[in-house]
Amino acid sequence: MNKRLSLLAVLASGTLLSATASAERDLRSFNPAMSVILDGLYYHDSVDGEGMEILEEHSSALHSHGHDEHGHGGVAQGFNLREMELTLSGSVDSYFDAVVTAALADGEVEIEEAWFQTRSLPAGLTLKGGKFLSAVGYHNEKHVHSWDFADQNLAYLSLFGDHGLRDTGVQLSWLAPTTTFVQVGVELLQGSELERFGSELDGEEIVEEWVDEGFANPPADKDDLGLPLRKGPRLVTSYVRIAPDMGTRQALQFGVSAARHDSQQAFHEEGAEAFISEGSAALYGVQAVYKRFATGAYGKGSFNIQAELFEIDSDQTATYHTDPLEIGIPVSLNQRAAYASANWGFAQRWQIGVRSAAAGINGELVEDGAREDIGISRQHSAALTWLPTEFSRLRLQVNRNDISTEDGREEFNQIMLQYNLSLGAHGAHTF
Amino acid sequence: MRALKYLLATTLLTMSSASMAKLNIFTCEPEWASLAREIGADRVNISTAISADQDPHKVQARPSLISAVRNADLVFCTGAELEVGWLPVLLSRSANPRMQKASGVLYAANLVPLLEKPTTLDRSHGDIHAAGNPHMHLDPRRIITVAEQLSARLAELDAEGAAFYRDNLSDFLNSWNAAIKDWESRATGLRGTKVVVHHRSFSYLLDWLGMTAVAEMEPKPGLPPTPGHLGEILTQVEQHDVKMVLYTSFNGAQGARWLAERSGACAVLLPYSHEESLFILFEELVNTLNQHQAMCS
Repeated sequence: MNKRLSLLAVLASGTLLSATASAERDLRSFNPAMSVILDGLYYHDSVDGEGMEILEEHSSALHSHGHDEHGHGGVAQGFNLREMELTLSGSVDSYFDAVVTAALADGEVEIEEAWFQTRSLPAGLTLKGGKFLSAVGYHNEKHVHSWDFADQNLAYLSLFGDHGLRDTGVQLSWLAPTTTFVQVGVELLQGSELERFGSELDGEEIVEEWVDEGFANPPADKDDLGLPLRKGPRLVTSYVRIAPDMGTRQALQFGVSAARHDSQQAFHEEGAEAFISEGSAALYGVQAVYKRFATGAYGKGSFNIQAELFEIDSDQTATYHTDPLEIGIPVSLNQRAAYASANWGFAQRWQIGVRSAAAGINGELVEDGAREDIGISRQHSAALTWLPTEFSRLRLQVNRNDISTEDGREEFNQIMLQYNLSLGAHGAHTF
Repeated sequence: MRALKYLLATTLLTMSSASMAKLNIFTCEPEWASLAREIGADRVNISTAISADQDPHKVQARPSLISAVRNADLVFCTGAELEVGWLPVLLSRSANPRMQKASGVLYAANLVPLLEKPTTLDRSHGDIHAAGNPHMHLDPRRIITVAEQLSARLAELDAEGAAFYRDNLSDFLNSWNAAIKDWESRATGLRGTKVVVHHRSFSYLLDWLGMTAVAEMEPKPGLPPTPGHLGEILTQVEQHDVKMVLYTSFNGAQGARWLAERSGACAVLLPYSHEESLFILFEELVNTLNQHQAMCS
């Protein structure tokens, strides 16, 4: 922790020095560029502040039946200072670019991203390595400050968690030498820090919970659980993105992605029965994005619409069970999640957006031939954003949630007032 | 099957003939596409990121631009941070090793002295550019330097065409210098004219024609005009007897019309760039200013 902090301090002081010395240079002058993102939220919901928790614990085949996830959605009623993001980026030399993003929250520093990327490989190839946001899907690579909404959409929340699919490994992508944008990529990732898709159990925690809950056939220690130790990298992803050239005023992109994790693990509990299952999981996704660029001044007239659909299929085996005879039974699970959103710059510096998302679509868990449906959860959102400049935005958002949980359905509203400010380096206008 | 073979053969042929001789030039703004066409003519393929009525500050690094830079032999842009939000993204995502060499990128603003270099750099002063005002293509004299450097760069990248580019440059400069003389002689009446501008996009044009901007409608560069700020400008318009309030399409007409309605000055819509020809751009600029000068006083 201290080491990380002092490293950051060194990096930061280096930046300041090089920044003052190079005010004269061209586009690539500030090297590395530094930026700080400040993000705060005033939050209120109709369920006494439990809204974020209910969203986190919506019914899902992946983490079904109440396994305690990490306490991420930590947003309380009232004022919240969310993560402060500190990013350093620049060219290492003529071969590499590098980016480091650290998030500061509650006095803790977490390295959100730290990666390098090649600048000059031949034949349209780019190699990226380190910890980064996967190129699976469309929304996944977007940073919180460039989201059109204050929170993560329910589809992503249910499959990838709050931050999206972020992991350590390498990515190789190829850009075709054509006028039509065609990008093909593969990623080899460690797969050990995933929240939902590809999530793994903490054996010791499970043993403790098993004993605390008084389930039958308690395991003596985590080795009893029969969870195999699979070697990394455990996650492979691939993606294709295609975007025809549609002139200067609009853009359209289609994409497909697929991923496979070697060791999806889940803890299921139902009444007096509890079991642990493990096996590989496959993810498939399709996406479409259309944007019309602003014709009027200060963002007026801009429009975008995007939609993504994902499916997860996983074939697992019960590695431990309250009933020892059931160990080894096949468990299969699958479910879909999707969202669609549209945003319109209806006036100078004003944007309005609507979003609809669902999780647990067609969700089912089949345990030794016995099928159990996963309830569907839905979320509808509307956001009104004021963008004084490129560096600041203020947003009012309301969510209407209809969430399936293990205790039945929960219907509630959420309201958020968000500010998001970026200090320092000019942000990138990515597609 | 035969159709497929034909399709494949023609695609391969077009691909190979395109890559055989022609240089691919990616330009950020239409003015540089026009200039590149003058010098490169049919030895080059040109693509442009935006249309003439779009704001060069506010471009998204859309996928087709990444592909265009991927295939480019030369990226020809303004620089001076005008494209700071999107060009670095294109350069880093295009996986084009040619862009890593000094010969791969040409910034016009780096070749000429810039006006309005800020003394302090602070975002609270608005969207300012450290190197100075980047809208330098609106001074035809500065275009000369850029044309010369472009010709030299094209010759460097395509040695076989060196003589061709040199000839095109001298043809262009002959007509260009004559055109400048013509525009200047027709614009003598504009000298000393005081105007109000929306953004600092016309500083170089005014500098060239000897005109002065007494006020900017944007309270800070990049911020839209507010009623309060426009109210202050209104007194200046009356004080200096300003006849023309200049704006371009991507500024929006609101501010200029507000001032015009209350002061009797004319709201003048000026082109900012031109996709076809720089000659037409300046012809239109000088004509529009002259017409309104006559009409509005």
